[in-house]
Amino acid sequence: MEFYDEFDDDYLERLRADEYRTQKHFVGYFSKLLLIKLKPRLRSRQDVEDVQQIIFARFFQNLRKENGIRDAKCLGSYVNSICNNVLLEHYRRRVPEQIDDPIANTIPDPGKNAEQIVVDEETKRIVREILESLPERDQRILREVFLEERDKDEVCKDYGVSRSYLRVLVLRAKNKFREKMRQDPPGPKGKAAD
Amino acid sequence: MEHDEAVRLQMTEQYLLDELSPEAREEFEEHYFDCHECAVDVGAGAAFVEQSKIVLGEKAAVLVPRPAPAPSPWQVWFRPALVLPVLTMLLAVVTYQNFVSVPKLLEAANHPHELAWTTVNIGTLGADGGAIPVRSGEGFVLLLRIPPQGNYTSYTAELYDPNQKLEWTVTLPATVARDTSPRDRRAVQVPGAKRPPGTYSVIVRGATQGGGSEEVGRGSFELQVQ
Repeated sequence: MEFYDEFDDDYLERLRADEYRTQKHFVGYFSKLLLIKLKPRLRSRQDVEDVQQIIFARFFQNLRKENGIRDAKCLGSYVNSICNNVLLEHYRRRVPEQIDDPIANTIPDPGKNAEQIVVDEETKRIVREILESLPERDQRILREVFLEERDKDEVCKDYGVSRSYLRVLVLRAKNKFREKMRQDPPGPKGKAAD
Repeated sequence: MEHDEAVRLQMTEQYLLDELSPEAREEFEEHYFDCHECAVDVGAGAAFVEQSKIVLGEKAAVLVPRPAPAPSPWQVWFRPALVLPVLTMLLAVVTYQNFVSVPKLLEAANHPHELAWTTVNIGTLGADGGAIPVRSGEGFVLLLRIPPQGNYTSYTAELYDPNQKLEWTVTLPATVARDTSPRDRRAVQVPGAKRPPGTYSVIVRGATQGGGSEEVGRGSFELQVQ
């Protein structure tokens, strides 16, 4: 987090007071988490954005209610619980025959601004460095798991490794990524991913 | 869920690899929405996975195909390095059998030759039989004299080696035995085998009408291996 250590009462008050910087931080912080959570559950980028909008709208609506959100430390849980409710409502609304539509099951990348494009390119460069530092076999394993989305048990069997090896492989790669992002943050402003 | 537990259980990695049950996934989501450290970890992991797909997709075009799956223990035995020598050896054995062993056996089977023999008197007809001199591994003939007593449906002859271990049994039809005179003999060809020299016993049993069996008599002979 950039300008505070944790969600506290002061943060909550600034949110209630429509303080722009705090609101921007709140939306930016939870947008990332909501995207991670929603992406596997929804069929399209548009659905993800629609659900996110409803979640934030409902949050700010409740924030201003007298008996609304009181405990700043439970802000995350609160957003998560709104997300669960909105998701359930979304599922109920969805037309059944659309559920298994394979064509609609991809999430296209929305338009990006110049800064985001630079950040993405820098992030990609860091990821490429990390992947190239891995043994050939580990690169193949990651490609087949993440890119080809092969069955993980089969991939592990083919390469003679266990599921815990796969987990540790992801853990190490992710930790290297975090370390490099901290040392060499991408983007024109040098903004850290954390 | 506590943060330490999430770290210990590698929940972020399990989450990214979609290994969690729906309940565990929801529990972890509830946790990382509240836990800044886990939220950063999940965010970094998700970004890494997302960018990895792009980078690996670019690399996929230049990578050689994935290796063949690890062979099963059975497949190991069928590797060319093992199969070729084994097949060569088998071929040599088959060739030797076809051109050496089988012709010899055929010649032996198709050409008349003399077998060593002796008469073995069963039961009351006599005591010990004579001696049979044979070469090691060679067969011989036993002429069994079975007394035509009783009303047996068939006979069974059993051969015991010098250690009184049963070597084989052979069934003889009783009708032929009853039709022959007491002095007639039943020829039994004993196949060749590595036999120790010594006194061999033959016990003959008769099968009764009621389905039972009773000993008719026994005899013996001396096998001399040369």
